[in-house]
Amino acid sequence: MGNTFRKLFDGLFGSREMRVVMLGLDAAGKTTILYKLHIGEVLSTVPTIGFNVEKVQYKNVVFTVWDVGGQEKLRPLWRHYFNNTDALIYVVDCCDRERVGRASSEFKQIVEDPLMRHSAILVFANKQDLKNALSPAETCEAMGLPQMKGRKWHVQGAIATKGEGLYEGLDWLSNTLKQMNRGTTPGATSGK
Amino acid sequence: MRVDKIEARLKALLKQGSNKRCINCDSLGPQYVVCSFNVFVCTVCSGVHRQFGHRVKGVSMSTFKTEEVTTLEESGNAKFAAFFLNKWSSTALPKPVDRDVRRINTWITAVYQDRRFYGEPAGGWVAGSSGAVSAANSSTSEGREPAVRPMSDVLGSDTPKLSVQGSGNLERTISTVSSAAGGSATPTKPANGAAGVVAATSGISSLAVSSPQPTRPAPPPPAAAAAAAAWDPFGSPTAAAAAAAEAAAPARASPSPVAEPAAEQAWASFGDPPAQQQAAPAAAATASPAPAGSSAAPAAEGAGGWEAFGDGPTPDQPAAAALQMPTAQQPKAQPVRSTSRPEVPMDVFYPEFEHIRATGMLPTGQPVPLPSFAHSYGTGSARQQAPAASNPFSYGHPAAAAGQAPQGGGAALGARPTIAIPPAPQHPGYGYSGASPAARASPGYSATSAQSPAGSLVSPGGSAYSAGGGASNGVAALRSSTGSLSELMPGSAAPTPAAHRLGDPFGAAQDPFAGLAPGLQGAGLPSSGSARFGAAAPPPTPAGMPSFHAGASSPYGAPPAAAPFAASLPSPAANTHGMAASTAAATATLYGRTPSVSGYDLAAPSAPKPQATGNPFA
Repeated sequence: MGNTFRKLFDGLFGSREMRVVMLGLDAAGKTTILYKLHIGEVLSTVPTIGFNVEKVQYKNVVFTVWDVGGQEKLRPLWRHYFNNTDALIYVVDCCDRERVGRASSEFKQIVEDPLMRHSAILVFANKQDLKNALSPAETCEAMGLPQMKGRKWHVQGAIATKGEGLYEGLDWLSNTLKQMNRGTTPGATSGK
Repeated sequence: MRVDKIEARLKALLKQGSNKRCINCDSLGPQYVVCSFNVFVCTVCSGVHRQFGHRVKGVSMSTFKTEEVTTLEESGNAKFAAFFLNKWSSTALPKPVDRDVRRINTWITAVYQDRRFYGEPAGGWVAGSSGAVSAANSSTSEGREPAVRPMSDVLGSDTPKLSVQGSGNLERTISTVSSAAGGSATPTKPANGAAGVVAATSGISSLAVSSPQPTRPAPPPPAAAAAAAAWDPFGSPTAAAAAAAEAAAPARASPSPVAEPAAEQAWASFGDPPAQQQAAPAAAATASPAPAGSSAAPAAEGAGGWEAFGDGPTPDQPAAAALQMPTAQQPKAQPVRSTSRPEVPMDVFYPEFEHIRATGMLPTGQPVPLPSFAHSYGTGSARQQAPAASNPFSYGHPAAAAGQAPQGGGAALGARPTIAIPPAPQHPGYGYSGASPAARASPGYSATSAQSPAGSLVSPGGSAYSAGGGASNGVAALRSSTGSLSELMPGSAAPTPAAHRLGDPFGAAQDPFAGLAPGLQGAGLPSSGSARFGAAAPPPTPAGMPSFHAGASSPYGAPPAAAPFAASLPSPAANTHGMAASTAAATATLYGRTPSVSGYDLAAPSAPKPQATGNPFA
């Protein structure tokens, strides 16, 4: 009931909230992306132990972005961030061809989780400025997205350190959110 | 259980001599491993390493394979220092002990990317040894040819410990040395040193390290110092080794009074100028992580001492001026040194190589073996023949190769358009010769220098990057040479709650190292950049960074492989397509120096970015 009311309120004033969890292998650029979006600067980040969370406003949408550390032993903790998540941002280091397979298997684990079944999937194919980087198309293929049915996904090439592609990705997220809300608001009973 | 074993080995490794401190900033208790170089670094440095594209792993939050730990046991900070800090002196470039991100950046650029201080240890690397030997090497061999002399010359004839009978004995001695050098009162674990030997010889060391060993008290320090002297394979003076061991002692700010006069004595025995006598202890003092207050004076002193060699900063220059050396060094005319010097900095031009180039004859009278190298190079089988391939450390021998051809990278680039991965980015500092017609014209020259890139091409494969490793390292080099120092970290202090944890962001405007980036840009990019991309890099796709997506019901599930797919996308794609235009401009700027990329309006301003701030009620 409260949920319905909130959506009505948001519909009136045009501001919506979106809870986003940002995952990916270590050194993919998650924290850099988060702070590039948040303060528009490239910070010198250190490997994240635990998580960072910031609110990023873009086009009437307030994204609450959870950036969770990606080292091996932190990955089992990812699922604790799945609950009540509208979207997944998965960051891939396109230069790390060696670990693309690993990135893909972790990705599949996430998207197959029951709690993530209804979330939109945005994949940032990061580090496009570096030579030998996987193209967004290759990233898409490597992540097995074409085989994925019944999901809303989007692969976006990005350069986190320059901010390229980040807002394009958020654009897609907000549009997708709008569509999803349009589909769910009348009934307000989606199993989200 | 297996995982526990690996972790135990890793933990034991962290307790060994030089691994106790960050290789870059000397801070205690490094928690990260730079897998590309097999060194232990602190949290802040690990963050900077990631910017260079180095693979970084946390000791406790990552998982390590057995091979990785074995490699670490064989190398670690001590070995890295012996090679990559071989020619390093604190006056040339002080360690970023204040953990300032800019300084660390400069440091990593110089040491890892440009390899300014790289050199082969004169006596070869003794696997399993730690701390003292390499520290002695790094602080005594800087700027001066390592004196190769009989041990008896140095030690006198009545040294009983000179002959080492069994490796176990040796290792125990060494490990006690390292504990003495470590300066802490912690008893050593002889098993660690022994494990190092086992790892180095057979590669299987788990039996030796798996369980924690009972600790034993270290032998008295005098014996340890003597052992260091006895064991110094580099033929460096004994007391200097002791002084260097003192310098490596984290707990002490300056060399002990015992070591200091001894050091002077030792130098005097070599007939070195008096300035050097001063320089040795002074440099040792600055090499140690002394309190900030006491480090300035010895540094200046050291500068004065090094002036005797003609390549140090002048005494009246503040120590900080040495920071500018990365830029100043390349155009600087260096004094010609005698040919007996075994290692040559790769960023120095030597007229004798002109001679080699012109005549095709090595100083030894042998002709430069062009055909074999050219063959091995062209077919890619250099992997087997390059000296780096057999080196377990496997980082290539840029200095050794540069010893024959200081402009090797560029020359080789000109000579080999066929190999897909350009090797020169390994040495962005001396890519300038790519445009040099002389270097390109001489077959003898490029044949000799082919060793260098071949070796470095191979080298990353030996470490973490197996496929395309050379490229990824090259990419890192590219990033450092395109002035990313300023590009990557623009802006001002961020009022973010997490800023304190992320290190202080800094503005490029007040960046005292700002001069470094243009310098690198000027030297590294115009030639090497063009060669690099001209040969191998595909031009960016017209769409720049195309994006594509599929809705649940979208028929576009399968992505087309070709570039123009961005145009064939459903409606939201139009949205991103507009953005992609700006992206394309940015990409073109990025590759702007590449002659092979055309059709981009480099002057076109990129489209204004939407801001994340906005009226929520709009």
